[in-house]
Amino acid sequence: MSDNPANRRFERESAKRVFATELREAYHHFREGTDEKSPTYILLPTGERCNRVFITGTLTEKKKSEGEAVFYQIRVMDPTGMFFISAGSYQPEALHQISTIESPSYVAVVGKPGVFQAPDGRNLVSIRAESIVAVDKSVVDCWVLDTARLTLDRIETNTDDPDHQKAAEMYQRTPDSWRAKIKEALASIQI
Amino acid sequence: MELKEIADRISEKFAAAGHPIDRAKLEERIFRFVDEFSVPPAEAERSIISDYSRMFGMEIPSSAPVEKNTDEITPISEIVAEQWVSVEGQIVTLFPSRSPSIAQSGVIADSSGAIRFTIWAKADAPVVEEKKWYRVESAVADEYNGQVSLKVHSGTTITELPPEATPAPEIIPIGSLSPNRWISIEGEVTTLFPPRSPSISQSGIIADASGTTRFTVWASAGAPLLEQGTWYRFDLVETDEFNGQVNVKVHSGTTITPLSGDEIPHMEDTLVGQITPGVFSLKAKVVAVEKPQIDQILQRGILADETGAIKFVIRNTPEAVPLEENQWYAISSAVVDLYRGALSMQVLPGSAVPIEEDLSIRPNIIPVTQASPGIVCLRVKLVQEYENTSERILQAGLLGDESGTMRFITWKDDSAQRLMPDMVYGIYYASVDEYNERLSVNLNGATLLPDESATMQVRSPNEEVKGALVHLSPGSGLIKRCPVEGCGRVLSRQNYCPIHEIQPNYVYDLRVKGWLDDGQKTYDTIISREGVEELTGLTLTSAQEMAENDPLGLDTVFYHVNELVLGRYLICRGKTFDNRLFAYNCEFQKFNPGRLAELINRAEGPLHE
Repeated sequence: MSDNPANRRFERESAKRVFATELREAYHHFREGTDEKSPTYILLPTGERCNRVFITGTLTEKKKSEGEAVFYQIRVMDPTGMFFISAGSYQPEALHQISTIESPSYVAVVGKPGVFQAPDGRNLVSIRAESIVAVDKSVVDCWVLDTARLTLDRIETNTDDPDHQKAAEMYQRTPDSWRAKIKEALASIQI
Repeated sequence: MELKEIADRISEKFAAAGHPIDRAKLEERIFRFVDEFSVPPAEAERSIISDYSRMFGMEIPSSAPVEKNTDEITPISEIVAEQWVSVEGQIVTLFPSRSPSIAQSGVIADSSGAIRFTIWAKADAPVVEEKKWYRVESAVADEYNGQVSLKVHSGTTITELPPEATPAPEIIPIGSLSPNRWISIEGEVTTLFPPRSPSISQSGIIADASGTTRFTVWASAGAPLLEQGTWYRFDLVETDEFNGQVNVKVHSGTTITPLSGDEIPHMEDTLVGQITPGVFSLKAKVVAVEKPQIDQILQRGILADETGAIKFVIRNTPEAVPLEENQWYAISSAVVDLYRGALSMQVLPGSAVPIEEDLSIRPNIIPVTQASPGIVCLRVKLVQEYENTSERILQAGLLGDESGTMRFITWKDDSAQRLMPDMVYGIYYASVDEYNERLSVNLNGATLLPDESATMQVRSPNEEVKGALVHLSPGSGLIKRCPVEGCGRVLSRQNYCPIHEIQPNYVYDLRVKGWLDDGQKTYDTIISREGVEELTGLTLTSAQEMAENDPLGLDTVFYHVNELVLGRYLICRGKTFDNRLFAYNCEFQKFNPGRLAELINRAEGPLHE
C-alpha cells in the first residue's frame, strides 16, 4: 500500500478494546489532518489513538431524555468501572436497539468516544453508541480476556512510537500501573 | 441480609413520599442486579432509586453520604469516604509519629482488607499496640489523594478486644491472594533472588499447591534468613501490588515459623493433566529424557500419566540424581512454573522415589486444533514441506489431521527422522511452543510411529480470523441473487441486477456482510450460507419461511441474524485478501479458561530478578 494518502484505500478504523477505568482517565483528543471530515481521536493512556471502541458489560441504568428529541443515556459497568453511553437521533440504529433492552442486561456496544467538560471542570469520556445489542455472559467474559490481552499489548509493545510517547507526556500514570487493573478485571471472571 | 436492607431503605424512601412499591418485585429487581449480574449493591441501589424516581416524577437524589448505623461493624474493605463507621480489626503496623497533633497512626486490618488510621492527639484515645485487636466505634472515613483513611477523634471509642473475640488467623491459599490484606500463608520457598537493595533482606518465590507468589522480606523486619526448599508459615504478612503483581511483604510484625515433618501440608497426588503452576505431588512415568546442553541442568525430560504429559527439569546440584527412562516415580513437592505458555516442572533432589508399577500408558491423542503449548500426542500426516532456511533444520513444514493443520519443525540431531509424504504417523510426546500467537510442534525427542495401513483426509489449511462482529451491513440475512449463469449478483429490492436488469426468477441465498474486528485490524467480511447456517441455526428454507410469514419480509431475517451475531466474538475460517475476508466456516468463540490463566500470568509482568 502506498503512503500517499490519495492512493490509500479507505480502511475502517478498528474498534479498540479498553476497560472503563482506562477510558475514564483519557482526556487528550485531537484531529488527524485539517479537513473538517478528518477523523478525531482520543489518546488512550496506554498509548494508542482510538476513534471507535467495542465494549461490553452490564447495563445498569437507562435514561430517556425528557425533551422533544429522543435521546438515551445509559450506564454500562465492566469489572473495572462505568462507561457512560449515549445515543440520539443521529444514531437511529442504536436508538432503536436501546429502546428494547431493559436494565440490568449484558450488552455489547460499538461507538465513538468523546471527551466532554463537566460543569465542574472535570473531563468526562462518553461513548456515542453506533450499535448496542443484548448478549450473554460468555461474550462479556470473552471481552474481558480480549481487552486484557490488547491492553497488555499496548503497554508491552511499540512503546517508543509517537502515540506512546505522547501518552507518556500527557498522562502521569506509568504503563505498568495498569497491570493491577487488568488483573482485577481478570479476577472478576468466575469460572 | 444486605439485599433486604437495600429493599427496606428503598421502599421506606418511596412510601414516605406516598409511592408504595411492590416489595416482591423490588426484591427480585435487587436480586437480579446483585446476584445475577454481580453489580455492586451500592450501584444497584442508586440505579433502582433513580429508576423509580423517574417513574414517580420525583427529583433524583444526588449521591449523599450514606448514613451508616454506627453500632454496626463495617468490613474494612467496604469503607468509603464520608462515612461514620465502626470497625473491628487488628493493628498490623504503627508508623513513627510525624506531627505533634497526631498521637498514633498506622494500619488496621480485618479479614476483608486494611486501611490507614490516624488517632488525633486531641482524641485522648488509649494507646494501641501492634498485633492487638480493637473495636473502633464512630470513626470518620475520609479521602485524601484518592486514599480512604480512618480518623479517630474525641467522639470515637476504642476498646481492645478480649483474646477469645479475636478471629483465629486463617491460612490463605497462595493461588487466591488479593492485594491489600494482612493474612497468613504457608508455602515452600522455591526460589531466592540475589539481593537487590539494602532495604530488602531477602526476596524470592513461595509456592503452595494452589499457586506461587513473590515475597519480599524487608531488612527492617529483622526476620531469620529463609532457606530455599523449606516450608514456612508466615503469620501477618501484607499483600500488595507492585508493578501490577500481588506480592507478599514480610514486616516486623510478621511471625515466621519453619514447618517440618507432619506440619507440612500433606499433598494428594495430582493427575498430570490437571497440573497448574504451584507445588504438586504426583505419580508419573518418565517417557523421555534428554541430555542437557548446559552445565546448570542435569537432566530434562517428559513425565506422563494417562491424563497428560509435562516437561521436567533437574538442576545440576551436588545431591541431584537423574531419573531413569521408562521408570515410574512417586514425586513429591515438585515446583511447576509456566514458561512461554507451557508448564515446566522442577524435580528437587531426593523428591523422586522409583515405584514398582509398570502400568502401560495409553497416550491421550488429541486433534491438532486442540493442541496448546506443552507436551502432546498427535496422529497426523505431512501436509506441506517448507524450504530449508537453516543448516540446522532437518525438516520444517505443515502437518495436519481431520481437524486442521499446524506448523512443525525437526532440528538435526542423532535420532531425528523425516516425515514421509502420505504416511500417517502417531507422534508421542512432542513439545508444542507458541510463537507470535502461532503454535508450532517440535518433533525432536518425540516418538514417531508410522502406520502404513492408515489413510487420512487432512482438513485444508484455512486462514482463521478471530474477532468481534462490530457491524452488520445492509445486504445481510436473506438475499436474492441474479439467476443468470455465472452472474449471481445480489439484486436490489426491485429485483434489479446491475448487468441483467429485472430478474423475477431470482434465487435466494443467506449471507452475513459486515465488519469483523480483532481490535487491531478490521476485516470487510462476507460469511457464506454455510457459515451463517452454522452460526444462526437458520437454513435457507427456514429463512425463506420466516420472510414469507412476516410483514417485514426480508428485513425480519436481517433483524433476526443481527440479534444473533452482532457484538459477538466469532472464529471465521476462509480466505483473506488485504482487509477482506470470505468465510465459509464460522463458530462463536467460547470462553477459554486456559487463556485466562495465561493472561493473569502475563499481567504479573516480567520477573524482575
